[in-house]
Amino acid sequence: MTDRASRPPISTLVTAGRARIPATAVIRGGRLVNVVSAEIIRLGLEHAPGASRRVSFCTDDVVASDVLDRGHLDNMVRMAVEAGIEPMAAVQMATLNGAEAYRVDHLVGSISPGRYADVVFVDDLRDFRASMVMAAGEIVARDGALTADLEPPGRSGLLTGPFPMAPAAADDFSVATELPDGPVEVLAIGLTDQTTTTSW
Amino acid sequence: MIGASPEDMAVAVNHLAAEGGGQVAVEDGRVVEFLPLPIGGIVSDLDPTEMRAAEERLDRAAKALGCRVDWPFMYLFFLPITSIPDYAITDVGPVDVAAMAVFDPVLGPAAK
Repeated sequence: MTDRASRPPISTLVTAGRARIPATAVIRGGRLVNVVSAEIIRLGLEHAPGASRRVSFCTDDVVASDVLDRGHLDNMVRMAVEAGIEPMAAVQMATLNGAEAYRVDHLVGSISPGRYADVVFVDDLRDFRASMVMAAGEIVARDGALTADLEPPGRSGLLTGPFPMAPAAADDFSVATELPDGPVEVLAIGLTDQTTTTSW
Repeated sequence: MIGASPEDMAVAVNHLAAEGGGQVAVEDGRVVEFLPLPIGGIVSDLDPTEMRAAEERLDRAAKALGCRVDWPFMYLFFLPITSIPDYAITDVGPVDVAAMAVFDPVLGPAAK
């Protein structure tokens, strides 16, 4: 992240809304944070209605089942609309706003001369399901299925093959201590379902 | 890596090292589920629908081992991150995130 586009949630939105500094907020959508994203957007814009064009979306911690079952940035558009954001403002959050925050809006982010022709066609701006997708001017997907061939790029041998390491042994997973035999107090991490950022 | 048996944890690590990376579930010394991620140990060329099926098989395998959280592998992605939450488990040991220092998880003799 650059200092122009950061992703702490509400405080940045409020700051951006006051427009005294060129702050922008990037809202993440991921499997573990999706639950709160729509609420953050709604709360932030309630405090700072002028911040709409300073908010953009990115995704984080998604796996294949998330993308297939819930969607990618398209899901964030749907969540934002559901949270009360106007559809066109939500689309801007997924496209132009991020491009401007990273200063690549001369290449992407809008349908205008000189930009890459990356275009998503939807039947309904509120529901935002892609019926067709163009990338660099070519149709690459229709009705939820890829129509273009994807060729994996060549990969360096440094990226593939076994990891050069000595075999692990069970002892490597034991915790040693100099303390005399007997019960000890240890610092442990607890795992709570649906929680990512609390003190464990 | 999360485990209840040091022997199975060693089997899991050695399997991943030999295969060039991926996600694995091990029970009683046996690999019961494995998703190869052969590119840098973290990426695959699998079709997304095949990847989804593999993710679901792994989650089911972890639950069969007694894991009670919905997405155990997703939580594993977070453990090595030294920015959130307060502690991380890394290749150089457990890390106190606020102090940005490795620490000894054994604090001292247990209170009587």
